[in-house]
Amino acid sequence: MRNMAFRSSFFFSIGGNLLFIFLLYFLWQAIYRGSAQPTINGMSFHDTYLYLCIANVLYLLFASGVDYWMAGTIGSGDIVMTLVKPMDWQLQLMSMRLGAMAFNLLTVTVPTFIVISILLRPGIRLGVNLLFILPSCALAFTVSYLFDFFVGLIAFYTQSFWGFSMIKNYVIRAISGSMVPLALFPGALRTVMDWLPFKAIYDIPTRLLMDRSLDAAGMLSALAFQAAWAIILFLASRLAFNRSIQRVMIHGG
Amino acid sequence: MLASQNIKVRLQYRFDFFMGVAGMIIVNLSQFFFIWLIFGSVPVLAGWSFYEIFFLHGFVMLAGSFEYLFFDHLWQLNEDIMGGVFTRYYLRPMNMLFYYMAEVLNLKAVGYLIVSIGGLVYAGSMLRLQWGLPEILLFLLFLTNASVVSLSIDMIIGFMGFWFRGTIFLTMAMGNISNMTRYPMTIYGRVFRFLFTFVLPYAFIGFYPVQILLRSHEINPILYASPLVGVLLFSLAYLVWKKGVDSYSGTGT
Repeated sequence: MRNMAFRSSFFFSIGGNLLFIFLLYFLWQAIYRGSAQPTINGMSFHDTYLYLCIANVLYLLFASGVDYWMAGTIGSGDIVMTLVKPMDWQLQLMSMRLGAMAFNLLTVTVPTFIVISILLRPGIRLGVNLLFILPSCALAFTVSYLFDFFVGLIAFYTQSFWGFSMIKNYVIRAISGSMVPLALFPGALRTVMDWLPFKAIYDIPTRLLMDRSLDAAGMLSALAFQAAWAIILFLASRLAFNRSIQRVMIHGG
Repeated sequence: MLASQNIKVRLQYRFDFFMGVAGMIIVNLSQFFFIWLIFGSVPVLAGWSFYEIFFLHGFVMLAGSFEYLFFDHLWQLNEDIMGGVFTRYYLRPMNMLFYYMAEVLNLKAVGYLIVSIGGLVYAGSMLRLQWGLPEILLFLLFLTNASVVSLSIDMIIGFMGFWFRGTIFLTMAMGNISNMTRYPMTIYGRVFRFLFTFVLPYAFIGFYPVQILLRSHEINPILYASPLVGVLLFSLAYLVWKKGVDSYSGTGT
């Protein structure tokens, strides 16, 4: 509902993202031209660019913005009204977000994937991976949402939430694979990234859609990784949420 | 009890401030990090070495830090306009634009400023730059111009808030795109070079000035006149401001 009022901004972000993907093409062309071999860490230019296109489209889908919404509600004090209602707030936000995502999926994601598959041959992998893509996206969205929710809880504690949220978005964008595929990260860093939850949001679903070296066992373990982080984040956010609520009550809710 | 409340407020303020500074530094460093990531794989990008690109990024960041310091209120403009708060700036005796911008001094940007300077000095020393007074003056001239251009572009985008809702998304989309312009423009085709020179003059913030400073043998001498671009853009931005202010009071919100 809120998204409708911001229709112009919707087009701005779509248009901006499209331009961004164009520019990414040239940048990576130049990068690969500067390299001695046609592949970097096993990824060719085509692989990398396909990866980045998919990751960026998924970004539009999964970046929930829930933390902004939470900050707005908490800052304005409306939060008190919401907490009085019987329905679980965390679930409430999630269903709101799912609605927006469904809309996004139909109007942006699917058409873009079709275009990508036409322009970049071979495009999205059509095989046994498609069985896994739906659960993977569901888990990716869950992890993304839960992480945003977790960060959003900080709005209970500080006024200057904006800055913090901006950093978070920036950092996630940088390390999640939407600017540089995780496979291209240097050794030690790659190992660290392999354990953090961000890979679950963009890298895994993206690779499910284009990485032809991934076999069924690999796909299953990827899904398990996503599920594990989803559970961890769910428990952590639940705990943190309850503590934050208590704090609100004590400080004159 | 009042005393402890007071202390709590001050601690909160200090925490927020610290978070803000840390945040900006993290954003700053992650931009350097990103190019380091890319150059891990290739030695040269469009003929530019790692330190030249590092210098380019540092230059652009330094040019942007004045904007963060003195003109940060621009971010809030869309909100103030939509919320009707903006009208109180109309009856002030001094220049409205100056008054609006002067209201917010973002000291957190000092961290950003320091890291940018640090990055520039580092890159400069690795490039073995031997600069005398004429080079330093040239540097200051083009840095100032870059700041003015950057500021003017951001202002014009921000002023769209007089006519559109939710321009924060436009700002973010443009931010993403401007990130992509921190590379040698030679990697982009003629269409984009035209775009970034005449339509969205991001080339004047980083690429052209740094080209003049580091690779003056390559450039078209007309680029020495680029300070004119800064003057032109600022005047344009001011015109847009005036139109915006007039149209806003016209609707009488």
